[in-house]
Amino acid sequence: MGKGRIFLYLCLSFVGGIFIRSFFPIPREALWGIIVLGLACVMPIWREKRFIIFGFCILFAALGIYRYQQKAGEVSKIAYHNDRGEVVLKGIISRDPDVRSKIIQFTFETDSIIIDGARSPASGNVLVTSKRYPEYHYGDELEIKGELETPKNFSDFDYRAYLAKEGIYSVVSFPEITLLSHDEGNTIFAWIFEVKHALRDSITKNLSSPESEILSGILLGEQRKVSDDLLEKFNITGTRHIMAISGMNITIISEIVLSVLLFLGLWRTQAFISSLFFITIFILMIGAPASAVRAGVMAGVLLFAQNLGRPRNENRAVLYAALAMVFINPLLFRFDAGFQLSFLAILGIIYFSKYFEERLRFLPKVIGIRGVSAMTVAAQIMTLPLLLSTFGRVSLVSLPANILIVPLLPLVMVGGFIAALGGMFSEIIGKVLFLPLWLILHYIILVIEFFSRVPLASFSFEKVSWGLVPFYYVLLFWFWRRFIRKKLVQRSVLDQQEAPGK
Amino acid sequence: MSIQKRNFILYFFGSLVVIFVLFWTAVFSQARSEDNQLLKVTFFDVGQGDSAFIETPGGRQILIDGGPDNTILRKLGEELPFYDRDIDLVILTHPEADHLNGIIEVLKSYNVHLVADPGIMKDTGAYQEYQDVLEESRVPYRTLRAGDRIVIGENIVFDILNPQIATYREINNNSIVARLTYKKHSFLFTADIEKPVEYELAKENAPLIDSDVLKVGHHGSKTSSTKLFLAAVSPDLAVISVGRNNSYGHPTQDVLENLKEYGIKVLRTDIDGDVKVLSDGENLTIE
Repeated sequence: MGKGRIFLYLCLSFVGGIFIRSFFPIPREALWGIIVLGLACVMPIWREKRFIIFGFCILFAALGIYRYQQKAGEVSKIAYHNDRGEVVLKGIISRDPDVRSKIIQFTFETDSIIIDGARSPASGNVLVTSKRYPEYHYGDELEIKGELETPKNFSDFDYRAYLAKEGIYSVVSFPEITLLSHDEGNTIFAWIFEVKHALRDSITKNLSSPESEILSGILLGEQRKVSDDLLEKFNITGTRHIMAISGMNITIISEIVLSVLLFLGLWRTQAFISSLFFITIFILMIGAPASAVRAGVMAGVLLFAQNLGRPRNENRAVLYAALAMVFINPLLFRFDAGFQLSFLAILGIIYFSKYFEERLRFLPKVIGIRGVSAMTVAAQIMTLPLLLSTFGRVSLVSLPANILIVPLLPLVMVGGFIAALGGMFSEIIGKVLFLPLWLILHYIILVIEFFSRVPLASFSFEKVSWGLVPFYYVLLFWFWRRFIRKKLVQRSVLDQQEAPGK
Repeated sequence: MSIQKRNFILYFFGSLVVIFVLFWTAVFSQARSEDNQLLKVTFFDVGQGDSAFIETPGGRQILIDGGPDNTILRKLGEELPFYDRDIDLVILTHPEADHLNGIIEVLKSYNVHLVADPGIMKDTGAYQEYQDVLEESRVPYRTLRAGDRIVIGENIVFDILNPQIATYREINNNSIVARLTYKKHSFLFTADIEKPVEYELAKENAPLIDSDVLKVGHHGSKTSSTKLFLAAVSPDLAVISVGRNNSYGHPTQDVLENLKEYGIKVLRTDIDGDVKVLSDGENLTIE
């Protein structure tokens, strides 16, 4: 057994530990039992090498369990004051506020708390929900008077764990807010958000609704302002992901940027570095929310492995990137749907997109239509059970709708960025540059409207049994072994035979 | 030339043609309604709140109130051609959330040439934001009072009937009341006025408030639409701007009965959606 393979097994065992602990509580005694078992296996008295490796796997699983326990037990200092009546908090807004149509939500980093007139230091993040106006901004220093509460779970959604994974253990709703000062945050982030807002303002000034909201969604990841009925149409057609930053999105977009640059005559390395740069700028531009950074890291690693490393290692590269993130934050594994979707979608693209590219020969290759379609199918196949259980529905028109829309995304993004920049400086330049963009966006809306009206466009499910999920993946794995891997192996053998003749 | 290059050129020009066709269809489909002889008044379905949009035969555009949120942007997006980013006049009748919030969004999204309000302040976050946006965007601004007259174009005037110099304690009663007249027809916009103002207008200015179309005061609340007032206005059509299943119980049964008693046709934004009234100066049509 090679060293790489042993390392892979150890990592998988670690995730296994996190997996088990994510769903079942493990008492302390049981954890000790597992550790003792592992230690017994790695004793040098055993002859069989495999047995010792197995022992280490058990120890790593225990480590995973321990790591999860450690992280899940973390609580901010401020959360101690949850559900204990009215308090006054002082602190700053530490992330770009989420502006919705009726409310504003922001993460508030406290530094002190005042109870009965006595001030004491207390740190921690608090999620604040406040009225739509006045607007607050990143770096605003505030004094907030209200009741700290422990987040309440919804009937079918573990909201507490969802917030905990972002380091938030307390919420405040509609408090009394006093603005103390501006610009107390990190200068670099303040600058990034300022650019983001300037782009957003330029878009709203120059494009009419709903095109402007959709462009803001695609370019800046802000989909909160899109009207509910339009969002519903995005859901029905399975295209809502174009307004969220997911691993699938970033992978597809970087892939298209790469192929366009190659087409324009750049060298592979240059094109690769440019598209990596493109992803980075893009993630920074939308304000670098944690979910986008995670998706970006995975997509970037994939790009890296495909273009600089040995191509056959791409799956492991992505796996290790995901592992590192799970190690840092084990709660992601179960409670972050975005993370799960990103990871699975990228795996799907790695394992299945080549296969579907061959099946989809009838599609033209221009502007990556065939490649993008193949990647979309691959990602959808891999994420299907998760989409079902998370969103409770599956879209039957998702494929044609995505094929008609997704290849245009890089054009919308690059064009939208340039037009928004132009619009900042001159009204006329903005008008001219936004015109073609309006056309593309209008086309996207027409496609979505059309497919959302198709009868039986989407199926909703009340409850999907979790038991079916592993079954699905076993089936998928069998399919892959039976039909896809064989071909890959044959091809790599052919490659090796050809190589010496060069 | 390689096949790939040739294909590329083919697709490139192909898509150019498609874009060209799409573009002009879009322009024509949106320009169709720019019929120059019609006055068009649209009462938008913006949920629980008020918002009315006026397009005059001369191509002037006036927005009265913006509703409670950014829904108004979508409505304007549907109503205006996509290249039109200007609105001539925006009137805020009074600074309450269900009239004001949408206006903030409009000011951020459109080039507004003039903003007018009754000059009443309110100690809310939204009002603060409105003031900030006004200052930031340097939009010309003025207050309106009873007796002001805005001449919008040939045969089209806007008469302001409220507020008077002496203001009421209840903010609703300081709302701007405006009457739009185009040749034979007139529209009365009553914002959220309540009985005292209705009484005052009906008693002292009865000939001035006689109108063909009435935007019913205060979303059909029982605070407004007295028989005296309805008799003085004597409209053919009454429009109630109100949200579906709103928590206030608007419009009330009393008001609906009063309107019925006078034989006034009623259209409601919660039931009928956007209400569009067209006038060529001689005939009124409802779309």
